[in-house]
Amino acid sequence: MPARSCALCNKANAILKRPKTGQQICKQCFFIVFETEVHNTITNANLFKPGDRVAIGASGGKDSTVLAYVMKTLNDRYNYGLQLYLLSIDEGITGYRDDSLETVKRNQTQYDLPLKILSYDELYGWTMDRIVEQIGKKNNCTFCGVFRRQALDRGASMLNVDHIVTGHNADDIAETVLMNIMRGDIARLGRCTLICTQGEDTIKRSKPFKYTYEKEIVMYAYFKKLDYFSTECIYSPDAYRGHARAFLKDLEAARPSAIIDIIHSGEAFEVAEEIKLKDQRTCTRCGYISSNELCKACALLEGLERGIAGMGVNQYHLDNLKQYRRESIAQH
Amino acid sequence: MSCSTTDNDHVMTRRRRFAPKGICVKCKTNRGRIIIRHAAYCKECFEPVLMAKFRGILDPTINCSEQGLSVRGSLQAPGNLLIGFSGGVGSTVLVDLVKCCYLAPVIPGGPKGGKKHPRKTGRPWNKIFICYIDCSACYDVDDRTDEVKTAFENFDENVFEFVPLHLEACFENGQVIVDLTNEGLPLTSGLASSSDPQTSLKNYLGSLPTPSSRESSINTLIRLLLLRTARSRDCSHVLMGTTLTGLSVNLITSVASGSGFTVGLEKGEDWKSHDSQIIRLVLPLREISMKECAAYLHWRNLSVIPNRRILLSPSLSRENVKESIGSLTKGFIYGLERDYPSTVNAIVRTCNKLVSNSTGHGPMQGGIEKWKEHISVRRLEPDGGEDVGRSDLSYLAPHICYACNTTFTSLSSRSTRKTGANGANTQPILMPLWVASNLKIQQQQPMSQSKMEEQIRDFLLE
Repeated sequence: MPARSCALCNKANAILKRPKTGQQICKQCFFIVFETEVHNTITNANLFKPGDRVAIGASGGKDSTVLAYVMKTLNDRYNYGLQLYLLSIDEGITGYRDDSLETVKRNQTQYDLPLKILSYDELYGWTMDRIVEQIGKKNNCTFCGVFRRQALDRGASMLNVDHIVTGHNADDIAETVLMNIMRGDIARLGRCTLICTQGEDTIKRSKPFKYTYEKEIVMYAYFKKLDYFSTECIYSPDAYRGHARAFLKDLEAARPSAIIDIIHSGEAFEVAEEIKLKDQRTCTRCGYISSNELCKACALLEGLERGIAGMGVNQYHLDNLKQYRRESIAQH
Repeated sequence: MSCSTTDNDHVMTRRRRFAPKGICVKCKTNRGRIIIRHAAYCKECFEPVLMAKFRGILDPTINCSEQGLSVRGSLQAPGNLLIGFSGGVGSTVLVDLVKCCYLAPVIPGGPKGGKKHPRKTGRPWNKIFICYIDCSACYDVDDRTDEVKTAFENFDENVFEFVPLHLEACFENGQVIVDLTNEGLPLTSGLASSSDPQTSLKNYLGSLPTPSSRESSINTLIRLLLLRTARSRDCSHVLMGTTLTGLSVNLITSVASGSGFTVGLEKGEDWKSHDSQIIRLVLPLREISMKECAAYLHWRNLSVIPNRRILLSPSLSRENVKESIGSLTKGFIYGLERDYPSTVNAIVRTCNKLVSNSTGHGPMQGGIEKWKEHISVRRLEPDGGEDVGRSDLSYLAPHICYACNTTFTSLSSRSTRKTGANGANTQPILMPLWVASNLKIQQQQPMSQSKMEEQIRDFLLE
């Protein structure tokens, strides 16, 4: 069978079929369109201004490794004028995160970017190994996710950066839209397709890979021979997300544009004005933004410290915790 | 970025089902016969509960004011009623509920009924049409109109009027012909290969790129044909038998097909025709699950017409249907309903709180091509505002929404588009008949200030 020529340049032989468009293109054209699309996403949303200090959330996985590489490339190519940093969080998962952090350290040298590593142990006095030891594998992703978000913000404050960019890709966002619809999380549904979010007093967070397919990120890393860590977390993955992900993969197989179509849908609707959402407050314990008296991280920590497994994972437990605290205050 | 898995062992495990134990939560005396979302109901209480849910949705929509009506007032619709009937579970239950709740027969010596009994309030609609749309041409199977007509005879023929239609009616006297192989969807002056509506329908469906596109197109054609039939028969209301489960499927399918801006309209809409007549499309079973409908059918000894979609043509084979977004979503939601019944309800409640974001990609959704070009580069040279140049009536793309654009242009590696000898379907495709009138109406709309400025920009001094 004769080799097809690239659908974009019509010169080189096509060596891949783009999952996003179905076009058969050559390697060089793939690099060009991949980087141009990320550049378009950044410039259309006016994500940065010259002189911004930007931390790249780096886990050593494919998304963050490609993000670090592409951000550095685009910053040099288009003169964004950004000061880039790598920011890693060590959750304290032996046999998983310690290995992936080695990858991040290699990336630091390869891309010549300053690196800051913060651990759950130094921030919260707990590692994920110890958390799992106490609560078991069920719901441990809740702890990890909540702690990581806050840890990234704290790390960014230490680095004095204006902006954190994360490697969330189109598949992640489409999956989150579906999950939020299925579990009725209207507040998150309203904001999960935003490319840039910023709470009060917190640093901006952006997703330059918002429209980038996961498969294309893997392709890019493969053809660029990027050094990344590909093992899944050793603790039980989020089962609910796994369910939504399996469904999304089926949809993508039926129609590859389904991922972008879901994101487009998420951008096209908003929460009706008459629907009341919780006001943002400040956590009475740590001062972080919160929709309750305690932020989620503090509620989870308090549950861990008191040895009440599962406390803070749901509203029922959160209410119990509040009651417990009121009683403690009254006793003193 | 997230923790993810491809290992099926980690996917949610099935929950243990509730067994119908204990007494009915309503009468507190009889033994429960059916579990509806963790509550047991006896047979005697189940029917009134279901009817109350049904009336709770339909009653406030009957008097066609925008604010709904006080349920204390008499129910009098401004026009007739048209019920979309497929012979399936939902539509059979719907017809029976309309008959029981609004058209109770006079039984000499029977119970008098309360103040709101249909015998005292009168009929809300003068005429009630039951419309069956035969889609056999889409699947190359036998016409089932006679079979449905026989089933219809089980209902009271003096009360209902049967209206049989064929889906190919959408293509009678169609005028707009489009080249679907070009992403801009240029309108062509050539003639469609056939003037026969059935062939036009088959050509139209055959030219669509994916099974998902075909499925969503058939649903759109059915909905619009029902609404247009309702208009021609002076109807003020159209009822469809979409259940809570079906609505969840439709909502997720809509989101997955890029119809997020119309997600609020899935539960019903006020459709405005070109002559400004408003027709209210209502889904009165939207809070009643498929399980409840099945129980109702069983206890009332109603029969349904078996779904024969499995007898599909090679062009829309069972394998292809399984690969469509609608079928995948149906399988997913049915599984959820069985194991996590609350999730199906949560999907509908969540989507009820959403409205179209008019500041973003609003219903008109201008600039779709430009948006697509930015997020997925398809040519190396920048495309100099082709979107603007296509805003006239020589292209269809600027006049359709994102979801329709996706329907016509989104390809799959397993494309079902019928291709010609040279690898592409170059045959011009006839569009449904209303496309021509919709394009004319868009042309007649007042020109915006920015467009005027664009045309005279070179002559302005400041």
